[in-house]
Amino acid sequence: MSPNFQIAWRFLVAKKRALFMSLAGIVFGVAFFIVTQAQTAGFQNFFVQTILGVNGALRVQDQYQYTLTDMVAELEESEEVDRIRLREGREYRPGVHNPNQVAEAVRAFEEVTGVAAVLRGSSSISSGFRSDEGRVLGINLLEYLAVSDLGMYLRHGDLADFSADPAGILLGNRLAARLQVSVGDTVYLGHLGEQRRYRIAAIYETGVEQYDRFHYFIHQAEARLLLKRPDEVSYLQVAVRNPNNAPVLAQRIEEAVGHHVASWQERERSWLDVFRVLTISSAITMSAIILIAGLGIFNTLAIIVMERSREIAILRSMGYSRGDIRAIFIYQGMVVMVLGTVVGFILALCLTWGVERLPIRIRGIFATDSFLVEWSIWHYVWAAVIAAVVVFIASWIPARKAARMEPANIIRGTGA
Amino acid sequence: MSGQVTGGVVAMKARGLVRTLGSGEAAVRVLDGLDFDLSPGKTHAIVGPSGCGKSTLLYLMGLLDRPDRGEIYIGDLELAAASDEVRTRARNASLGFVFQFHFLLSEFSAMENVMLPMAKLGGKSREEMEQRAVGLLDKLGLADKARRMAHQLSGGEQQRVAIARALANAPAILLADEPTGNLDERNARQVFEQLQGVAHELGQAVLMVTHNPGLAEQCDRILRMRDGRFT
Repeated sequence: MSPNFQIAWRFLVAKKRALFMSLAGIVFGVAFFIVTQAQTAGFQNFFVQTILGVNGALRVQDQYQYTLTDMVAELEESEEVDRIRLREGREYRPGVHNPNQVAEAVRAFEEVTGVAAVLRGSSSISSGFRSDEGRVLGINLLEYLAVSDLGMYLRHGDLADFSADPAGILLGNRLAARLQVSVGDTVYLGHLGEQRRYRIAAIYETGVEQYDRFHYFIHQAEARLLLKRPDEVSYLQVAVRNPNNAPVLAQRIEEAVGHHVASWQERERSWLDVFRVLTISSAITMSAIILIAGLGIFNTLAIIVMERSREIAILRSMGYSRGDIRAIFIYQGMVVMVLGTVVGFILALCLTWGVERLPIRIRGIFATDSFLVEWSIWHYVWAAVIAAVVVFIASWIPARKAARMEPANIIRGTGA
Repeated sequence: MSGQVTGGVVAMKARGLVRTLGSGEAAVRVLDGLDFDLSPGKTHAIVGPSGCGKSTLLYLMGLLDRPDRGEIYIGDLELAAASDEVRTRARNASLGFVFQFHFLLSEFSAMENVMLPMAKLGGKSREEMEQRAVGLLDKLGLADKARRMAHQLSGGEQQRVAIARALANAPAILLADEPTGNLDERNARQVFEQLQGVAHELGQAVLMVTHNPGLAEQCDRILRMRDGRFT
């Protein structure tokens, strides 16, 4: 152990109560920072998983083409005029009108793992008890399962039944509850005055209210008959290897296929912004605890510097440099920081483990029955970095003051 | 009278030291062009009325303060204008201090206090440092109290630990600022004898500021100061 560290340790241990208070501040600051980040990230990740599982990473939707305009230019030497064609903007045409070719082009991208065509339209849905309005989604089941987690969301019934029955329908649990129907019951879908009969093959729950209450799946061939749209589809749902890279990929696919491609980040921007604000605000709030602990450390060290001025003078007289004195006080801060961070990590592990088991029922943007947390090393790294910066600044200032003390003035009794 | 010696070896010397304390109208010239030599193996006493500049001179010689003008040498090395690093190294290797108040680190044992300057200088293992510290404490009659915490020792014992600490790196020069001023007569005499023993047996130059004329008389050389000059 270096003499500087040994002196620092003894100085610090001599002030046990102040040491304990400073330590407690860092421990709780670090632990709460990690737990709040783990929760926020946990809920955000689950939301993203749900979004990807329900809507896919990318959607290839409306076809577009550039509109052109003419710019007239007069030539100087003659009276002739020249017309230059310029791109003016985009004209959109809803839907994907040649889905097979577009899907083929999209599959050509290496990052794409699955493409499913979806035909979407409005219809009425009625049971023997009541009627409602909703959105019918016409899918090819195998194709759709490759780009969604629909299979995971089933609560009642079986996808095999749906697959085997051309008149099968998959209902969200909230819609099923409103219509008071269950698996095996019959419902009627109506569009433009025509009604068709379907048998409920399965009931799903995604947790996303929009889906569970207003959407229902039927086979695409059936949807074409119901909606009277024989050729086109509404959009292609696309799964990709790395969903974080979806915006870049969306842009590339958009340019290649001439359809607007929306990434999940673009579609869910408002929710992602909410999570981002929550993450930042909780980080700021919890950093404030660490900051207050830093003020405590500053206060403790400033008092130690005042109380130890004679010892500082004698250390200087026996050959300890200004740098040594500075190190002695910075070491004290670092001891509090390292101890506080390590104990804070342990407390954070225990709290995160406990929080993960707390019951909470959430439905609306996703479905969960307990708190969600993310176990990420980066939450611990960030907590340690914030604690290190705060403690270093808190100990640097008194350490600098101690190093600047003039030993002769202290011994003479005239202060620093 | 000059503090210079004629002929012989000089452990430390000062030339033309001027030091003013305070500023503006409150400025006082505490040292007024002092020349001064310390001889190895001899005890030097500085006596004089309060405020004559004794302690200021000691702090300048101890490289704890800088003169406004003048030079201070240990060997051929000029230290008055040297960098803080060079002066700090010189304090560690060549100077030992004993103050009126012992200034021991109370959370350390007597032995650990004596080891502090050695730990800073380096070059010794922990065992070697412990051996030397116990040896020095033994020489000062404190071998059996080497592992006691500083605050568990009496005033006289603490001052003797401070002397052992000052001798830890075998410095060429030992500076003492009223080292017996806080002790009863018996302890004062014991401490003084030990300082004198250090000078005569180990060949160190001892410079001692004292108000005790009886102790000053027993030193090898007395320098009387008045108004920032030797008289």
